[in-house]
Amino acid sequence: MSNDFITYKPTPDVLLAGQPQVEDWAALAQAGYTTVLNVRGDAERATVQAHNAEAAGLRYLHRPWPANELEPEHVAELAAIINAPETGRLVFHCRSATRVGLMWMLYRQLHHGWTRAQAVAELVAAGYDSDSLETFDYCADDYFERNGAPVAS
Amino acid sequence: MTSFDQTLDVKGAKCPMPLVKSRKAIGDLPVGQVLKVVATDRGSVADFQGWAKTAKNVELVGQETVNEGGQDLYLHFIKRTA
Repeated sequence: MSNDFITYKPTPDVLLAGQPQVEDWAALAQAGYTTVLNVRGDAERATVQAHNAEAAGLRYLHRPWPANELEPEHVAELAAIINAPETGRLVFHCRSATRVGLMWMLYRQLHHGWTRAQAVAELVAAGYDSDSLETFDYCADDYFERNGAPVAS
Repeated sequence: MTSFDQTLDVKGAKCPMPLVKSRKAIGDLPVGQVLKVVATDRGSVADFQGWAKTAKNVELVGQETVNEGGQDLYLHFIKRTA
């Protein structure tokens, strides 16, 4: 993998990542990952990435969910992708791996019934720093203020 | 320099916090006013462009980069349109 490729591994089958570089696609495929989910907004970049990722044998999904205003349907779609049999081992990426960390935390709370403390502990164990945790807290507060308290499903 | 009505300092904040704070701040402005957002995250340039493309109530009226004490600051001027 390239030196500046940011990654966190909360589970053996999910890699939360920053922007992969061209040389990373083949390395991800070699490492056993099968699907890439990109949540960045740039469609043009995503088209190029899809070409490179698919050439390396990866399945590529682009979901430009709004970073500033995540809604329950975005987390539900993430859950559906994670749990789809065709997904396999997933690389879930944005630019700096912070937004995907936030979405992973919301997914744990909304779809596994985890408390925020449990979800944060998993992200800390994966290597996220205190700046990232501050972002997760602030943005999760905003999410639940707008959408109500988490309910396990 | 683009004219503005209020300033939001999000220096040091990581994505998506600058966008979330800006969405909240723009909601407190009257329609037609401009919020100046001061960020240190280089990626905020593309992030604010993306937000303005998809949001129904904001327009990105300017972006500038300035250097202050050796640090690049990314300025985003967001107008509330609805």
